[in-house]
Amino acid sequence: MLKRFLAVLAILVMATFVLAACTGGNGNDEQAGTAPGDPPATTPADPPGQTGDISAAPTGPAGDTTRTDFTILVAALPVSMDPIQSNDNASSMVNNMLYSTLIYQSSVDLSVHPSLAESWEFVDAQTLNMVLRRDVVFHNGDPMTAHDIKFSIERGAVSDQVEIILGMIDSVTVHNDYEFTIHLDFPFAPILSHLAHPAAGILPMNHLQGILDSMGEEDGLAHFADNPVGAGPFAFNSIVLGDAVTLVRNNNYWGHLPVIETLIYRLVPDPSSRLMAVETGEAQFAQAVAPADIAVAEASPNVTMMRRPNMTIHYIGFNNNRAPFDDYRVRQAIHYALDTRGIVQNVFMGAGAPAQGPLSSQVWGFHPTPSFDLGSQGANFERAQELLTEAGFPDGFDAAIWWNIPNTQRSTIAEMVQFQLGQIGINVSIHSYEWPQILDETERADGEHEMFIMAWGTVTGDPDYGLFPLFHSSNHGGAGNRTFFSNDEIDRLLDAGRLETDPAARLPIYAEAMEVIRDQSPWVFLWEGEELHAVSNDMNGLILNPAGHHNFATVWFE
Amino acid sequence: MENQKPKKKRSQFLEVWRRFKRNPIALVGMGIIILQILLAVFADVIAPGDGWSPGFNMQDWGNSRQFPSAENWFGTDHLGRDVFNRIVHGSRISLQVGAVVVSISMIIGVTLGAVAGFFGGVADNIIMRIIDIILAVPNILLAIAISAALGPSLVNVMIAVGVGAIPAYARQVRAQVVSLREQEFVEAARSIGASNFRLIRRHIMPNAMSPIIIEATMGFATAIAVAAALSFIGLGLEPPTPEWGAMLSDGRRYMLAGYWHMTLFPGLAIAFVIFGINMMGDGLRDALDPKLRSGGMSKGRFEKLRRAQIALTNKGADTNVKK
Repeated sequence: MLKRFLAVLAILVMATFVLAACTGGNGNDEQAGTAPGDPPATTPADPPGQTGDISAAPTGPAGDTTRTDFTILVAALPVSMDPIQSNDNASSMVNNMLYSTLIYQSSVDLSVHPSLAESWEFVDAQTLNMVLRRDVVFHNGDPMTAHDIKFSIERGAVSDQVEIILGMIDSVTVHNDYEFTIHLDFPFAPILSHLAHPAAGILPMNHLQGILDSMGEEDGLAHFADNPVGAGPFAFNSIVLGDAVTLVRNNNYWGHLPVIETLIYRLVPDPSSRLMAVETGEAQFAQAVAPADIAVAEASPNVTMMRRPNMTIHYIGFNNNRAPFDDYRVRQAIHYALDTRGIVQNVFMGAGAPAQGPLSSQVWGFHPTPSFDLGSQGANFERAQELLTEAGFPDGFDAAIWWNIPNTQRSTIAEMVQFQLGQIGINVSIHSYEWPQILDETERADGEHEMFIMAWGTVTGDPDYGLFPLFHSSNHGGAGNRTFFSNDEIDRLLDAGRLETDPAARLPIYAEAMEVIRDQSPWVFLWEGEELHAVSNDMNGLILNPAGHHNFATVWFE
Repeated sequence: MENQKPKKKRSQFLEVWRRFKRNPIALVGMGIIILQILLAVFADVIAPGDGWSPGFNMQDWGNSRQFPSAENWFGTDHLGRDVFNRIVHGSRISLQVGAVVVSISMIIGVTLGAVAGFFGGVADNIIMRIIDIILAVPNILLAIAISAALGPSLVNVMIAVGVGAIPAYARQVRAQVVSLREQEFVEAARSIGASNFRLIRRHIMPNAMSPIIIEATMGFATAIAVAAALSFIGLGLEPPTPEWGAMLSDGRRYMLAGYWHMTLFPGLAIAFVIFGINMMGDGLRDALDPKLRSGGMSKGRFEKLRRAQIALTNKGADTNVKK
């Protein structure tokens, strides 16, 4: 009986965990990608107000401002407020405000600009010299020096959670308090956008070291994650588990001081409830409006719908280790048999766009690789049937598709896939799992997954982040390649793409890679996501970030 | 003996029926149940098709989220499936779940209760403590835990809901058996050498049936409701099963956008059936054992009786209520 009690308890705990892990529609495969001080970037100079554009956004009409507290309704609370202990959308959205990064990436065009790093210079393709600003102070009063940079970046480089973001960094050499050099393991073209990721947030070395020394490694890390200290525009105030995280303005912020004084992230799992709370004035920002509710939000006099295509791609993956999905003809047949445009239209009701390849069209280097000739029907059952016959399955087979609770959009997709594949004799059964469970299973080379619905956010805006972890054979499993896809040609192209530093030379490499991926079909590409948020009418100064990590420091109300 | 028995049974049944049919609400409840059984039996006639094409699982994406019309009486859902067809076929699922759950929990619960009550002692203690533990966990939570552990499927839902319903039977039956086993007719049977099994089966259980029948009726409604709740939170049956709770859950996402028909009709179906069974169960309880009315589950009636009793005791302490 004890077991049963424990099971009940475990379920309840798991429920909270799942809520924390699964952001809106995307699970924690959506990652962060912007730094603080994120104004309309017309100048590559300082983020904090130097030009009209920049100062206009955060200040707003002083005096007319009526509201200094800002409540954001989120689908999930942060898993961890230590930047390197988790890489999920919900955490990044908060960490983005708590920490500053060396580089910041503009929400407008994803270009990189100085942030904590005043200037930088590539000595060679593997060596990056940087100069730190001298006026940065952490929330606890410690001044920031190059030693904090070395500590924070090297810590991230060996972290399991953010290895794909910082793992290519070998070491940081400190020359003096404000000058340092970052050494890379190999020439890595998109390093600057990786340094702009919230996972590369800088934290106070002496403070954290003190905690670790007095409390021990494990307890100390947990303590820091619950009591974070950074140098971002907002400082941590309090967290109520399962309810809200409250941040207060950092009055010593090195950049432009936000107008907002209190920033509250409140958990409301149901998308319709989030929207209604903004409508009634209880909150000012509702994350991830359900596609069906967009029209409701647009019709409401108190609410403005903010939309922007993002860099997330939603896909159906095939386990290439498992028959019959080890045969590319079977994977292609399924590609042919699915009317992905119809699915996207029905589930997302016009939001986002049908995917045109493994990358979102918002990502630099995107090259449209439209699906095979599907004709006017949206699906080509004849060709699918031919391919199945060639592969030796003229009568189809049984297969399973997995989705994660409580992502109901994915369950709907699964039902539509089940219906359409039924027409070519593939009997699909639908299985739902909790998010951690689905992650565990799809990480194993002998995992029992066959088809699964997931998403990936190319949050740096660089094709390397969108392709290398997902399709390179060195990343099988948890690193991102959950389809266990192996292809020498792809490995060669993706290696070449990340080592090549000339942007013009990278483009054709990635274009070719995307065509090979389309033909090999380890995925069926479904949907390019869209940021869909409802904000109160009096909110100003926010530019949606296509990585999903919006800079709330520039918001004001009137 | 051989002649008398069926005759006696029949007259007892008629007596119950006579009392039952005097209760109009119970008759309405029974009408609803009969209607549902008819829907389930003739589902293929009312809403024909093998499910996929055409039928209750037939998806027509271009025709999704249509409001009720002459073509689709209850409208269509988010995948363009006909809501009326799905509700009709869903009644099969509900009946199936109700019947199997009641059978599982009744067989196990009655057996455990009878053993505990008849033998007493250590067996009684062990069984009833286990039952107490199950009782300590809220029914729906227990179902959620089991369902989550076993994974979603029809059989698992039935097990999950069934386990939670066992204690009610066991306790009812144990109480009955404890009081019956000391009765003279049981003594008499034992003295002429009847085995324990025969004593329980032929002499005790027939006299303990009324509360079991009532419990089973009410349990039927609970089973349907809990199964629907499990489906609603995604732990129920696998898609595309036309389960009412799952339909409700699907429709909920479109409620704010104004697609009321996707939630209203499955919701009404669940509400009607549970209302019907409960009304019938109330009537059945009154009819089976008029004495039970005093301890009945109807709150109003209980209150009335309690007040009457308080008034009575206040009137004169000499009134010996206990007899």
